[in-house]
Amino acid sequence: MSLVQLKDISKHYQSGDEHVYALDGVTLTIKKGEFLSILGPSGSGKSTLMNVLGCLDKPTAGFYQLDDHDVSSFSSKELAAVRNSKIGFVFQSFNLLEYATALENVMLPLVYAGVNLRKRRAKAAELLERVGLGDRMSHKPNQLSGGQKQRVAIARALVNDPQIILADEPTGALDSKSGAEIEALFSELHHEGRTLIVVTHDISLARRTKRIINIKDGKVVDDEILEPSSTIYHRREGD
Amino acid sequence: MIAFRQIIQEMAAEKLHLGLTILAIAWATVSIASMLAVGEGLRQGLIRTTSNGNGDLILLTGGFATLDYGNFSKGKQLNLKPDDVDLLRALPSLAQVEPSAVWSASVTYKDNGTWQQPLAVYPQYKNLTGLQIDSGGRWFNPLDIKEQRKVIVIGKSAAVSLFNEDDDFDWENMPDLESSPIGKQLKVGEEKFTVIGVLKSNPSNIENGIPIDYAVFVPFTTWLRFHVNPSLGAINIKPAAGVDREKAAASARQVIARKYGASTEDLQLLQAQDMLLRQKTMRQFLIGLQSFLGIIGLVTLAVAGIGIANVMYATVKRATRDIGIRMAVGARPGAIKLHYLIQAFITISIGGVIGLILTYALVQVLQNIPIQGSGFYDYLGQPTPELSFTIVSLVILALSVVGIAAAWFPARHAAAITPLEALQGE
Ligand SMILES: Nc1ncnc2c1ncn2[C@@H]1O[C@H](COP(=O)(O)OP(=O)(O)OP(=O)(O)O)[C@@H](O)[C@H]1O
Ligand SMILES: [Mg+2]
Repeated sequence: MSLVQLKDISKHYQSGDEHVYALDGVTLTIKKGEFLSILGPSGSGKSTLMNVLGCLDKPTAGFYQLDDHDVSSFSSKELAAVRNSKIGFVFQSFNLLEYATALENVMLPLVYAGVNLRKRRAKAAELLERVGLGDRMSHKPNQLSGGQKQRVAIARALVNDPQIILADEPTGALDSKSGAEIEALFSELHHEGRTLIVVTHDISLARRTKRIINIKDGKVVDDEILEPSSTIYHRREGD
Repeated sequence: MIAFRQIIQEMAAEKLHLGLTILAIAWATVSIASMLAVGEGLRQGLIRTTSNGNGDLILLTGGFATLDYGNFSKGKQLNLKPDDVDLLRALPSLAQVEPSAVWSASVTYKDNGTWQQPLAVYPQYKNLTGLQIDSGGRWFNPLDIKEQRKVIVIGKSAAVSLFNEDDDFDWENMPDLESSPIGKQLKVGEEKFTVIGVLKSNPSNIENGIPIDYAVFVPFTTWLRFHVNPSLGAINIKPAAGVDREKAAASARQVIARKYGASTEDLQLLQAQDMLLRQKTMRQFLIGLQSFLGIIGLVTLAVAGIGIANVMYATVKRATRDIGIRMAVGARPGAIKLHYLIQAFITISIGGVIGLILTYALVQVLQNIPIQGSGFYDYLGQPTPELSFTIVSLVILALSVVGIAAAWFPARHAAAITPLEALQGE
């Protein structure tokens, strides 16, 4: 059962006479419970693809269906609701509110979901415990290490029980030890049955995933499924 | 749908700008509210003077001729006589006609004296000018008139200056009467008079600007007893209801002018002052003044509004990434807009409340500044600034309008940013 369906998604930028196809006809199906990584050289369109998947950005052309909704036709108000309830986004640069505590940051999506304060607190606290930050709830981001910040961001991404978790280079700004902790966390989430999509340059993270998509010049050039036995099936474009 | 804590936290991060904006709003509130309050005080004062005293009367007085005409050569004086009143009472356009005369003698009690000389009037004068007697005393009755009794009624301040101990006398802060002067004897010139009544304090004027509080009254007939060939100070005329006041005044002048063989053209020789028309002009002036003061306040407020808008734009710009974060986790554009509208509302409320408190304090101070005894001040009805419910509502309305207008555009601007733009905007 497919959770995400992209058909001929293109994102086109024009600055002056220059045309840039950040995405050029991406077609992709992602099933529930998949753990997949997106690889590709810098400027290949990975972030653009993630932003489209995360409903942060609208494609210039193509069709995007998420959980049986045609989100490519949604208004900005409807997209906000989709981001709130179906998507958890983890950024390379954490994107936490600086003046809010870890707990408040994690509570934020619930605010916009209209959850009352007591439930917000309880749920956010539960998730901070889950990512191992039960003792850091009232710390502000500047009192946390990079790895801790990213775990707060992951807790925030999980707090609304999203259908899909998107992470754009989640370990990119972290040292290797913190990076490894985050990787382990993602693996755990996968084993819980969550759907995760990770953009990474980090081979060790990519190898934890069960499917690797390679992007170049806005096109999917390689899509391989890694079996537990580490047998690799190649599904090249046009196969 | 809104994280109040974060609104406050965001505001706390903008302490300096916010403080300045709050200051500007408070200042604007003070200026608009106090100006309206001063205007309101003046207006109320005027209403006080017109509803009492001679505010709705026509005052007929004699003067000096400026034309050679009939019995009058230039510079000759016209003295009104008691029987003039009968001629005027025959006119159907006049509802009430009351003479008054000034007794040119000082009023004294022991070493104390009064500022005003006694006015000789008939009992009807009381209702005509809205005088009220303090409890324990009485006004003139027909017997006082018939028997030409030597009785006297005095204004509140006149009573204080006559009967309180000298040391206690404080011009700026008029004390209460220490004891009732009723039944005490004082002197008008060398004649002994008995005090029968004290008037309730009243800020209005009678005659040509005599404050009721300082006035002293004796029965008209008693005055007649001591004067040969008496002439009146003035004739107080109340036109009949619904009558054209100017025509009523003109016909009164005509009747008197004919009697004395004087010119009706000579406005100095025979003067008919319509106090109501005079006050009407004054009132129009005051409404104009109040609007003017209000507009000054409004302009100040508008300037403060521009300040709010600027600070809000700066806040939105600085908070762009945060807006992006909020949007990324599901804040709708409407929620972002509301966020900044609430922020502006809080700012304006703080500024407005501070401003209103300051205005209240200012009004209290102004109300307690004693300015008694100035003729013009008394003439205006001793106005004090008043922070009425209407004014407070008006100020709150003005603040809301300016605040919403100022916050609307920055808030809309914030809501129009796309999440990606906002996140990458740094
Ligand atoms: N707002 C924009 N305006 C114009 N061009 C853009 C814009 N955003 C992205 N691009 C272009 O789109 C292409 C894809 O960018 P994208 O950020 O998706 O790359 P990426 O694969 O994430 O790279 P990296 O690995 O460096 O993060 C790039 O060529 C980039 O210059
Ligand atoms: Mg990228």
